[in-house]
Amino acid sequence: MSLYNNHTGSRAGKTARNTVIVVLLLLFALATLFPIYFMVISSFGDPVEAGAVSYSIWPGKFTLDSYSFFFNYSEYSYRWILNSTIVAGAVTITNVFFATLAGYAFSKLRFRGRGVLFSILLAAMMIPYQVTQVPLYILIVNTFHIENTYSALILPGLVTVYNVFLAKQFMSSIPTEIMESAKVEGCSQLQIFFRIIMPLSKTVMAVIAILTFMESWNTFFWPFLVTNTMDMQTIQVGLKNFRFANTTYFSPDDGGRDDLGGADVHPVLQPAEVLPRGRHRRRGQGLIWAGERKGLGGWRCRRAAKLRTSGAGLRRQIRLWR
Amino acid sequence: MAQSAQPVKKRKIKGDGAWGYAFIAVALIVYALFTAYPVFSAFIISFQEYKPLGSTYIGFDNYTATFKDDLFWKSIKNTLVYTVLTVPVALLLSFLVAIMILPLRKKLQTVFKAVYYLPVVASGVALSLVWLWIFDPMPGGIFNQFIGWFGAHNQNWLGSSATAMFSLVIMAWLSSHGASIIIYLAALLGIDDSYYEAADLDGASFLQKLWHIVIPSLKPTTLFLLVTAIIGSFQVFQNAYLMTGGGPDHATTMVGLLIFDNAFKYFEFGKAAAQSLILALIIALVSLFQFKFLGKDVDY
Repeated sequence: MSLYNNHTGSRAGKTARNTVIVVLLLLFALATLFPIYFMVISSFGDPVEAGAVSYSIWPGKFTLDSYSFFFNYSEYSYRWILNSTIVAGAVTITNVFFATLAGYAFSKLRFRGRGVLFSILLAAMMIPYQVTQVPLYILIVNTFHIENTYSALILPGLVTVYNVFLAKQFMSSIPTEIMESAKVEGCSQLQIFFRIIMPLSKTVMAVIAILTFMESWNTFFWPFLVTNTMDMQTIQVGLKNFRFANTTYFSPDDGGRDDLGGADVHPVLQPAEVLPRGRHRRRGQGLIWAGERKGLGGWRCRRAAKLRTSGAGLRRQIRLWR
Repeated sequence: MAQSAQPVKKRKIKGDGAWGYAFIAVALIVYALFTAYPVFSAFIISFQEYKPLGSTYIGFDNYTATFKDDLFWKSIKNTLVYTVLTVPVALLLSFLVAIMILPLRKKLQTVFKAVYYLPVVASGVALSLVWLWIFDPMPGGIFNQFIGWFGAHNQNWLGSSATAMFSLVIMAWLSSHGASIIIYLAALLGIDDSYYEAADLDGASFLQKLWHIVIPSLKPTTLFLLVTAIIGSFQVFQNAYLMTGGGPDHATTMVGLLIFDNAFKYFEFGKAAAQSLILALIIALVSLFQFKFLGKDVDY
């Protein structure tokens, strides 16, 4: 029994209902996917076609000219993609590591001011970014003098409150007893973190990695503010050089619409898609135990952890906790 | 058994205070330097006329100037119009799609979730570029071709103040509901079957179940999505900036864009800081209002 009556009524009626639903869903999907579809088909058309007077929504011919147009468009085309990869990669790694670390401390360790510090962090999530953008820009440009460097692109995003919050929420569900017993067996806090917490938190780390990478790859505003030469731009800022309402900032002279290609849009789409999205699914309690069985390892607390996690007695105890 | 689990879960590890501080050190430093300090600094800048070498204190001038500025009120109005036109429609669409995905087979659910999530993954800049082609003012522009089938005359979508805002709204309607659809779907799957069973025994129809079980159960989710959507909508910047640049005749100048222009086009940092704080205050008030009046019977 559920919202829909799956057990009453005829089989044919159910099939008809689902068919109608699928048709409706497809129609709406068609509308929302149209821009992406159009982006892809025009990227395989002639470079001029997309900027021409008439747009065809059906794929006419297949050519990779637009892609070569993009890479020949400016000598920095490769550089933009490289920059985006460097920045998004660095930001992803630091976020996964430091957010997990802070999340562990906030959820499992006891220290003075923990609650207050966490609320202060959370308060930041309500502040619109417009408030910080001007002072942040002044800080980076006038105080630190690091505009137009990778540091300027990476540092402000080193670890975000949102990710700390995600990590903390996830780790609250890990039983504290596992850490306590590890401590009794002689593991230091660092060992607990690397040998127990990180293996058990692979799910949330994957989620943080995916979200952070996507966000950082797609971000336009900050790189646009702090870069002022083409060789330091990320792909999102680089794309803007092609054609937009106000290309007053560092716009190349040949950015007119007649030689505009379609392919320039598409490479931007890809890397975020490449990351394994399936990992989203591995959330929840079941995963904790799976990770626990195979993820622990190493040195002094390895033996102890093994005993702890493979012993039938402990399993029973764990069942009790749940 | 379940009762005994409660006190155990609350326990924290003692005696590792120093490690605690060490573990949060990086997060705290980054926060202090790149969030807390800028917010603090924004307050100071908002009372100054900013100059790179020594700013001068001018009291509330930035605030009074902002409140006298017609453009500021126009941008507030534009932001409100945009929010009212986009947020409810986006929520309703997400809800309907989630409801329709629900009865399908697991595989089909996954396919549709992926399909609807795709625009979220795509870069905003790239999509804006495509939407520029779609709204091309020439008769050959895609949207003009489309309305041509219904006999309508072609419009200068982004170039005329009558339609520019509407064009941005259409763009918002047809993009990126993926995240809210997935959140709604997760909440729908979390509704206990026993409610439906009871309703079935009482002979409730589909619409009655929808109205009396689903909508009340999804209230916390709806509240969450509404608050975040409104916050996001108040800060909207990128689409307006890339598609219209705020024009024509400031018809699409949102508050976020106005702040950007003041800061990085005219370099009036003081005014921009004052406006950004006003925006923050408005957002805080609106969120508070929603929690107070819509969240009355919501449990967390």
